[in-house]
Amino acid sequence: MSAQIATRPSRASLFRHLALKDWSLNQWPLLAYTFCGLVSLFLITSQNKVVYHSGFVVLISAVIVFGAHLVFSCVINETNNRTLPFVLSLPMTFVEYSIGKMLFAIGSFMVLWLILMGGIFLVTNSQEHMLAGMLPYFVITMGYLFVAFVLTLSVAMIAESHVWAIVVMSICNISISIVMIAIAGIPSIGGSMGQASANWSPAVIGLLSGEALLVIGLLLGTLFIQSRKTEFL
Amino acid sequence: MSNQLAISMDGVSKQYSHFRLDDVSIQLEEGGIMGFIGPNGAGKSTTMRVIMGLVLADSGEINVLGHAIPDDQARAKMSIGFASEDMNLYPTATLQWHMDFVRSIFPSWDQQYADALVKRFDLHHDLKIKGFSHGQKVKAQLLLVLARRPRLLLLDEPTTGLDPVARREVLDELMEVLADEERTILFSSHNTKDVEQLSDSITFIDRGCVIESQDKESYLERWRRIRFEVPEGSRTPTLPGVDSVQKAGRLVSMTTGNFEPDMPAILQDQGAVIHGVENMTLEEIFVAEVMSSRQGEAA
Amino acid sequence: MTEEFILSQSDGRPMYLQIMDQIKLRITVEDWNPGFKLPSIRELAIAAKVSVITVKRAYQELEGEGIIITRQGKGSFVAEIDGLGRQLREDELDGYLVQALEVAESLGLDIGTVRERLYEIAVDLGKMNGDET
Repeated sequence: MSAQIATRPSRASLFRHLALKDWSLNQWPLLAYTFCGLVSLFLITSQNKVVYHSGFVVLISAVIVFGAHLVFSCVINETNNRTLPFVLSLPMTFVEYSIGKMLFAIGSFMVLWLILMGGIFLVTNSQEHMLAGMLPYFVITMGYLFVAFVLTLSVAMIAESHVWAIVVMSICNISISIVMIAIAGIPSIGGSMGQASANWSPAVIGLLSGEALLVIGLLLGTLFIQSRKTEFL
Repeated sequence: MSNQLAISMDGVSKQYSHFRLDDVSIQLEEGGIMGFIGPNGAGKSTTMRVIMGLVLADSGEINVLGHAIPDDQARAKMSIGFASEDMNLYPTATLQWHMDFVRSIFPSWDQQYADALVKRFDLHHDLKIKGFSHGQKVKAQLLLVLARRPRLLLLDEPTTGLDPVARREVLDELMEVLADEERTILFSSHNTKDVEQLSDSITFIDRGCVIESQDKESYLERWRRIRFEVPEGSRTPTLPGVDSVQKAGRLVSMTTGNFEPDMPAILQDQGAVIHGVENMTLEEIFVAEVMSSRQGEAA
Repeated sequence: MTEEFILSQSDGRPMYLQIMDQIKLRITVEDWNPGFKLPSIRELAIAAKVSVITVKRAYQELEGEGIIITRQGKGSFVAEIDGLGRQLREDELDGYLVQALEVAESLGLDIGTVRERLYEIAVDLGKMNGDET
């Protein structure tokens, strides 16, 4: 006749365990993509135009593939492999599960993203032949990749369907070239690319703020939709 | 046995596009074991998911071990062990990885018991789950819930697809659970023999509705097959409350779910010669219930 | 002792009857003598891998037949009746004889015929001499 009041682990502890679980299941591929990203930082210091451009291709690809792995192996697979009921049988609600997943996905993506951003700044400032004027352009492009990742993650978490995730991800990635051209087409950005110092113009600040707001909006919107779901499997 | 309810479902309904869980009410006392039976697609899995908070009902109240579901589901799940045949473990991880993971979250994990179960179930610590056979995967899931010693076990088809030895191992372990009077089991199964043998109470569901929910002995006692013979050319005797009648020439076999001791005498008064009045196995009752409920709909 | 309570999977009779039979068997072969304390309902349920209420019913029916006695708070005991084992054996035989008579009745045969048939079969099986009728 004991009325055991079950005390469950704290939210923080649960999120930590969920993140550790996801990390332990995905660490090798993620580390591999990070390594490629670091290699690309070396490539972009080259004075050889071909190597320089390849470096950027590798950099952007590393970011995209890292994000794709998180979305597919980490989010969609829980549904496809039917491990979701196992995780949801742990002492938490579905919203807490979503938050935990987001924390891991966004968290690990940001680690890579910040490493590469820091790397770009470092490399640009330490190499005389590299023009700091390109920095706003790089930063906005990287910001776009962040938004694209968060969008794909949100669609994957809400729709729990790899079809939708692939469609959204493909559209974002295919549009990268167009987006990059459009960004370069903005006078204060394109015009400053050849200069030795970065021009953080209002347009740049505006775009970056917009990207940040989009990310926050997407995450909050996703959590809201997740909390309205009546079925999680 | 404590009279507290481990599970209390009252008027639970859930609408899907092609299926409806309709006004489901179930009560399971602590310390008891309930067998949940019904045809495929009847709503057994859905009901268990509602109890776990994995599906939100449109209406009705659910209370598990004193916790309201879904509002207090996180705390309830500390005391519930759930395993289902449509649930998988992570294929690229080992059994040991899963054991470490569950242990890190549940302080009630009993490592000694877990190790004993690994041996008893003939499993391997260091093999990746994708290398397990179906039976081993089922047993691995059960190990992970059993080793936590939860107060309530919710098991969706725990013996389906297991070879006879594995089935024996699992059922033996489940019965050991009941040695603790405060632990409760709800399991769904196609294996009516297991349900008939192990259950204290039986809930029968078909097409989203609970047809019966009663203690097992009373339920089995309500059903009889009466075999009798009628003289050539005379009309077949009738009885109220009869479920089905099968005839082969002069021999008649009648099943009823509302047996009264005076029924054989009533038939005899109508000219029948009784050959036998027999109890029915749960499997026979299952078929009779489903057939008659389907015929009732067709009528 | 309780480990050998195994129910037959192929026996179609209700399980509580099978449990009752196994208990009666132990009393008949004098494993469990009058006054012996039966295992608790839960202990037996787990040993036999049957539900608790099935064992409870078996105990209740046995008590109704006077074969065991339940003392509140103390448990259940084999009834203190001399020769209980023998009595149970005779009861079992009676059960078969009643069945035989019922079948005979449904076939329209009288008791005299039943008795003759019994002797004929016994002779055929070599259990009696032909002159003993």
